[in-house]
Amino acid sequence: MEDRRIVDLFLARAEEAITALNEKYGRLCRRIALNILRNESDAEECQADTALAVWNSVPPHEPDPLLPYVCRIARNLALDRYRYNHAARRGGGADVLLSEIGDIVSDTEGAESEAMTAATASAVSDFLRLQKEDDRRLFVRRYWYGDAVEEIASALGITANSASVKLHRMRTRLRTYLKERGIDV
Amino acid sequence: MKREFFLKSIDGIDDDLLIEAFAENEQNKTIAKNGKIYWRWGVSVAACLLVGVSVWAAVPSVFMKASDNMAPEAAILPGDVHEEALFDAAVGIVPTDDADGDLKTEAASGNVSKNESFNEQSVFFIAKITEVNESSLLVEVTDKGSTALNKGTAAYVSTAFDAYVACAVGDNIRVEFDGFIQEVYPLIIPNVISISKNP
Repeated sequence: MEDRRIVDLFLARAEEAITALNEKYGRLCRRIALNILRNESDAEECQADTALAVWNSVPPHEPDPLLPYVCRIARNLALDRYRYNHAARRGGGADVLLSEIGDIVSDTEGAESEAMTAATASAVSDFLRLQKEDDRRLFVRRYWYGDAVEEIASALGITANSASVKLHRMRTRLRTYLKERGIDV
Repeated sequence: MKREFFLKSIDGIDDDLLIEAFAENEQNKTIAKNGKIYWRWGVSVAACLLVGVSVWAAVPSVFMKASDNMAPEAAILPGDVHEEALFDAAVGIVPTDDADGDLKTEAASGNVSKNESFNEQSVFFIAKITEVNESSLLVEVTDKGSTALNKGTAAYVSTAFDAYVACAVGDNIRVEFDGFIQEVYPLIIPNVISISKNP
């Protein structure tokens, strides 16, 4: 079913909208959550919560495109769940992501205002647009979707080692890029 | 913590970047199967098959000569000669000589009649001279004689032997040789025994 049709169903408060959303994006949402949480049951809950969150937010929102909107909700819910779980134990998938991101940012405390977050996101987007398409996909799949390096490498037709090297170089370049733009990371 | 801040910042990257990566996500298996990985696989397999078929197509003529005229156990070539034949066949060269003189091959395409005796001293064909060179004649086969050469086939015939009597362009000649033919274009017949004018 097309995204527009799904959104229309949500706007019409038709319950089949949930089914249609799960059919189209349920697996992806669960995958995003699983990449962060590394727990099937938590991931399933996140998937269900995502559909509920979309139900509660559409309307008033009319997301277009629908995909990033749904994925962001799933990712944020997974990160919230991760933080909740993280209070008790360490070792989740986000730990690994945070560890790699350590190449880009320092561990020191810093301002985390909404404005700063938005500026950083914009700079990262600009940086990614300067990269080759495959490198961009590699970065986004790794650090946004949280996919395993081996899985991405397979999809891109490169070795996992090559993917890791590319990611490392991109992190280094991104750190330089952000510094040059006055973003203190 | 700044790392989490950064993770949060990444969340705000533009939608089109997410869609682009998602498209890859959804299609990754298809791309992997139809795209780079299997494409490379396919090329490798095709290359191996090509080499295999080339060897298979060329080697039988090597064995055919031996097996047609020798005892079955003798048809198995000595290791060195065999490997050499395989190598030559793979690179498109037909052996023209061998270590012990037992292996006498002609063109890999089967230019020798199966009825010919492998141990026969010589074979012959009739040809018309089209070019005279210092140590060879370029000829056009007009009668295959005891060979399997096709009529009209061009071949260089060596004249580097003692009994050679000078010929001229347009002469019809009978070429007797030991059966070796180098399969290049034109063919080369290096070991000529005699050349005589054919009326």
